[in-house]
Amino acid sequence: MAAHETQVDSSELDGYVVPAQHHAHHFRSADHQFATAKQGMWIFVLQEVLFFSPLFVAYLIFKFMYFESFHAAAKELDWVLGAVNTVILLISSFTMARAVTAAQRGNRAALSENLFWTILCAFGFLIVKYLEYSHKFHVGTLPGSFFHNDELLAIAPQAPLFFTLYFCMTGLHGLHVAIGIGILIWLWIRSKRGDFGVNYYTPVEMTGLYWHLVDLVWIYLFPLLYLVS
Amino acid sequence: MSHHDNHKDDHEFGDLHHTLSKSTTRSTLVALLILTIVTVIASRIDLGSSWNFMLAMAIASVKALVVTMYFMGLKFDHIENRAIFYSSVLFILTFIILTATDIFTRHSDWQVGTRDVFLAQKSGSGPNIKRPWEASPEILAHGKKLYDINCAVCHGAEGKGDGPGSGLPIKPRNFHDAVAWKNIRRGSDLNTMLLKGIAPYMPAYAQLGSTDRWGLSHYVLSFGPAPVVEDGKSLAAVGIVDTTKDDGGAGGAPKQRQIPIDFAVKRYIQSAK
Amino acid sequence: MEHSSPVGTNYLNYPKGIWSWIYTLDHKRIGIMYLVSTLFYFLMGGIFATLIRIEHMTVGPGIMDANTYNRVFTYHGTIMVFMVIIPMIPAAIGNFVLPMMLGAKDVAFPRLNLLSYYIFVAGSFLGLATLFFKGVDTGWTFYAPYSTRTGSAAAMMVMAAFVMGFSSILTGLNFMATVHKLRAPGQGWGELPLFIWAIYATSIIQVLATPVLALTLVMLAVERIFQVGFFDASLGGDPVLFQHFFWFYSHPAVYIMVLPAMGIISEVVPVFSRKPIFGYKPMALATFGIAFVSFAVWGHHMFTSGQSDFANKVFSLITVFVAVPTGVKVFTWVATMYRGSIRLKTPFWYALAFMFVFVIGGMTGMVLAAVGADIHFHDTYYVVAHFHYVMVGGTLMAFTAGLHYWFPKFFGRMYNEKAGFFGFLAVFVGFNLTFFPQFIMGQLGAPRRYYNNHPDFHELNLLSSYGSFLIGLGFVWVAIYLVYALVKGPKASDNPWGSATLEWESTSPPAMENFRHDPKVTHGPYDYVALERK
Repeated sequence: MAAHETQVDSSELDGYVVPAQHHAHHFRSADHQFATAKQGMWIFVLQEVLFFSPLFVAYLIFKFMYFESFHAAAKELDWVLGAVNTVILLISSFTMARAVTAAQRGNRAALSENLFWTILCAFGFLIVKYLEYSHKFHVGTLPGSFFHNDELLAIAPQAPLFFTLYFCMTGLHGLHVAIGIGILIWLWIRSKRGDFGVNYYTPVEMTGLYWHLVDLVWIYLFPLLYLVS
Repeated sequence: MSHHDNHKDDHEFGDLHHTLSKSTTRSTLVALLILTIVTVIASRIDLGSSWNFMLAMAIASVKALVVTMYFMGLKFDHIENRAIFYSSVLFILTFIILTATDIFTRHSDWQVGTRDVFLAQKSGSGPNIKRPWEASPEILAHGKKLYDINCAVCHGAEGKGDGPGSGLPIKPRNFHDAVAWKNIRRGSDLNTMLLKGIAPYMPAYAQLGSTDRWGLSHYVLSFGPAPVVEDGKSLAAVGIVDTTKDDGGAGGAPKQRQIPIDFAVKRYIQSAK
Repeated sequence: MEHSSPVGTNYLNYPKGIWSWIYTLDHKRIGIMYLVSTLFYFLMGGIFATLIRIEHMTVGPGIMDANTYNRVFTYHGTIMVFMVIIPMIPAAIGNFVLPMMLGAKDVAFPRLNLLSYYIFVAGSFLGLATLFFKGVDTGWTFYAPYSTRTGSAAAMMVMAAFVMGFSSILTGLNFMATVHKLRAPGQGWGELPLFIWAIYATSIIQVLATPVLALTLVMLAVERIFQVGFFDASLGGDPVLFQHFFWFYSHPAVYIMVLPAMGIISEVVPVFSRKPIFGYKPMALATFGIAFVSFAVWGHHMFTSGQSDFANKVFSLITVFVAVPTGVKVFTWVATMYRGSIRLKTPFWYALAFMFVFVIGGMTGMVLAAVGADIHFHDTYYVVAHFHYVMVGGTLMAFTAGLHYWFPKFFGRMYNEKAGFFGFLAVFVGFNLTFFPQFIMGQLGAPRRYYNNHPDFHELNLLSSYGSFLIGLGFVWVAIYLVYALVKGPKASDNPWGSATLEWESTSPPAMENFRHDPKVTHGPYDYVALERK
């Protein structure tokens, strides 16, 4: 979009209507289809929550079995970087919600812009994660049998188990972020093409739900892994 | 299809196209950021580990509620979707609580990770035998103890390959038979073999520490012909890099975490009481 | 996409061509594809079962060695659980029948439905491919620490189960959304056939429980490949934790197997008693009651695993409660038949057998639920007999009842009743002959998954094996006369049984778009009086 348009009151850009949408034959109307799609996405979100749960349960169990070890090992994590990542993801949820609103209003410019910021935040998150991971490779605090940091092992004999859980949980979460980036980029391309408007924005809404789920998981991961008193 | 057609169905599907205003979205973000700051501050105050944990989880749950209700729109959505999502809480709680009901009500003196286990682990497995690559009455006795527990079931009490579990398609080695010693001639060979096992029937004993493996190696060697003498290379292959040091200079190798045999036996007997 | 197919065609012959099947979005065709796949895997699982029974006819080594035996029972279990019993009723029969019973034109997400099927096929191929990579010898339960250390292809197999799990989750997701959003006008929750209630409850379990198994299997694979220590005691982990995670899914999974079966019985019994189901609301509530309780009882598979005494008692107590809603169902079926106008057709024979056999299976389940008794029975043939009574006597017989009941609807042909009755006799007698002796063996202490047979159990083993040959022959006979019916059977009418559920208002077989006129619900699903008036 041309630069001067950002000075315009953005509500004047609302109202974009995409060419006529057909709904599938087994639905009564486009709204029927949309409501069903949304519910399908919520069921998917539900199963994702259950999907992450065994790692959380394992973490909680081992944390209380090996309290001192896990406490000492958790101190090795950089809580500042963790907090930065939390803030990044919260902002990305904000821009994603703004993107959905823009799509609902048919504001193509705001939609693409907010998707762009969401993608940028997501990349930022992964970059911070990369910094954290590379530091751990450097000091040897790796999962299970790859762990080689005798200093930490001396005060935290179960540190390898802690780092197994750390890498598995943040890794699985990071994988979901990466997949989200792919979906968001595709969405951004489609938004540029003019695929979404007031009468059709289902993929944007669905992606929004997915992205907020990714944020949700991190909201629990951060205090569990990083914040030790 | 024009915009106003959607209103006809709105009452049927709930507030299907509810739009979050800019101010609501902004307020939600601000609330979440504030709660994040609160979480961090709360973690710096020591309320006792359980309370800190519960507080952190409570704040996270409030944040989760805010995200789901506002960013994800559940507050304005059909009740079915709210039920679908929040039911997860019930099932995850069931999962955690009933699993914990098992793990945390096992015998209280089975807390693996308490200080005495930790100290036992620190000193290595079993007796701290110096220069384990050299045969000594000490290491032989240690090896016999380990052999009786780990190996005799297949290899027999006297190493004849006739233990109760020896009914395998490939018979366990009879250490008194010269044929058994064709390829394995030294303690270090046995050491390596114990680490890797011999597929498919001889398992690997990678969880045994260096001293344990030397103990077993010396003991098993005692069944057969005189072993070939070790040289610097064969010792180095199993981590003995400096024979002037009592631990063979193996300090750099990754420590095996394990529960010492005596400790495990003691606890096992205790649990039966 | 066309909205109406030419008059005189049905979903089987229109649209035409192999590609129209491969890319189909028609839930009926997808159901048939699942039917073919699961029946094929049933044959494979049955072959492994036969091998087990042949081995058990000899004291000492028979036709295989111990390591092969471990693989044979692992494949029997894995194939039967993941590739047959779990998908069989929901994905095969459910896909076809559910939308039609709701008066819908398709499931909520037809493309997802097709994807579900291909994911299932991919996962099952991956699982069977392990046969060429040293096989798997851990048992279908993949317990750590053996599964993390064995030289067999366990990682590949658990990844196959992971893939098949996603098929199950997506099908459950689809059915949930369909039941919520695609009901015909006039079909409130109080007018849904009980089969729908059953599939709906099953779908909820699939969506909630299967992801937990999925991640557990990933953790197992990670443990195997990277030696990280979740389930390895020497690295600080806990092997019993694997069992907690595994059974958190696998116990609700057995209700994924049995609830749809009960749903079928709830359809067949009213139709062939020509009487509405005795208590509709309690049946619906009981279905949910079973689903609900099933999430809190998994520890009863772990009574002798090292689980704490306290947890043992808790799980034992909660497990006992599942008998209450189950009892409601059994009594309701019996009460439905009482003073009904009984027609002894093949589906009903299987339904009767189900009630008899399932009660035995359920009662012995209560014996096992009592932790004191289970200490004696765990890992004996008593457990094997129990779960075969509920899974084979239960789910498989209900499936066969459903297959015969809906056969005219699926294929537009009628099978021969006499042939059906003889098949039923062979299956019923063969089944009891196979598995009842196993209760006795187990009670006497015969351990399960043992390759060698103690001479004391020789006669019982022989009896069991002969029984298994009889079941096998029975199912072969069923296959023969059903295939014959497909090709040469008499044409079936739209509603040969006089059922009052919506799917019977379509033609037999249905047109591509299910109903040529939009169906309207004017009477309850078991209201035969209103049906007669129509």
